[in-house]
Amino acid sequence: MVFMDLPLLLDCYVQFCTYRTAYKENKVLSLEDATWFCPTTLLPLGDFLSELDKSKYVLPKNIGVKNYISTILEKHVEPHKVDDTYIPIMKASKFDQTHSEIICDLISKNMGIAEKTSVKLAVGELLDNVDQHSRCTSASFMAQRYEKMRFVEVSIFDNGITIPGSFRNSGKYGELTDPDALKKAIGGMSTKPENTRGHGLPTFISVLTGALKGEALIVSGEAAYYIESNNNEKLYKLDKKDGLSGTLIGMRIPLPMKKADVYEYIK
Amino acid sequence: MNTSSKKILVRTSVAKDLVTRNAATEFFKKLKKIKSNTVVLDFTGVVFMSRSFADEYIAQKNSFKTDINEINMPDTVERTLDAVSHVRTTRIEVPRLRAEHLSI
Repeated sequence: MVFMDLPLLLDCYVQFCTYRTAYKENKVLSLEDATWFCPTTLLPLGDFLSELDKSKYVLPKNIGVKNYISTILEKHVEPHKVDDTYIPIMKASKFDQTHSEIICDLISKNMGIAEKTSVKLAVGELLDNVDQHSRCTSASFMAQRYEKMRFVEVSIFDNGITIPGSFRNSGKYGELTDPDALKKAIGGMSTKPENTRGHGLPTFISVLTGALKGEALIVSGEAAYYIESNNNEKLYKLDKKDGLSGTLIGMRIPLPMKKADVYEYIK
Repeated sequence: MNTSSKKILVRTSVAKDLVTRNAATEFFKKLKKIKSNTVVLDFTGVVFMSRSFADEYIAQKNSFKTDINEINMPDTVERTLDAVSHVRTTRIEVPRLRAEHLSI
């Protein structure tokens, strides 16, 4: 299903939802004809497939795509191959300092990323959020450089309690809808008591859209948020069937990456 | 008067990419066990510090009873710490957004 007026990053999530709905309707999911998955589709799809019996899905005929899917179905994956075009799937029960360092190291070495500090400042806040807030049992990371389309896509997924779930658990803000909780997180409100907390997501968004001129999608529970470099932003309330048991963050950074004084964008 | 000082290599003790807030907390737990008047933190080989690590580093350092002397701090780390120390208590504006319903 393609929604003509949706941002392409959000369309990647729509693609995942379409597969999930097809499975619920048919009790089997055929990926046979799939020839391409972007990271923002692949990571939640992998998590969804990992809950299914192998007899309930058909892997793609395309060997490359099949290998992608097979890799992400494994419980723990250390990046096994590195080159200039992608950072392969990394999957673990959680992302802590050790995993974060591996990912930062890969960002430093691969993909011809020119603005390493900017990318690490953006991605670092997401990795720390997984560590601090998600209470996940599975987290995955992947990045892909699309040379012809001139962008790098980076995605992080965790199957944790979601941002709205974390806000509700904190008891700090009373009853909140999922979009309202996501809005608070983006606006620097924190579930923690210290008044210096809550700057992680705002810094991620500021560095990504300001310094790197990129775009971001955050899907968490039954809410989604999209922002692009001109600060055009949208908040969505998703139907329950279209929600996510976890948090997915996708970002696209245009190439060549812009040089900027990234420290000005720290919130 | 005891004027002892102990030098710690941050890269060895934590990592060259300092990312998570928990890593900063754990680092200072280790530092608190050191019996010395001054702790010298040598940042040789460190290449990156995240905003979250920086915020926790500043908070922990502010409440740390022993003197800390930082040496060989790379420009990227120094500028991150400087930026975070200026904005960490600043309130951020919650966006005035109304949620649109999206049915897939």
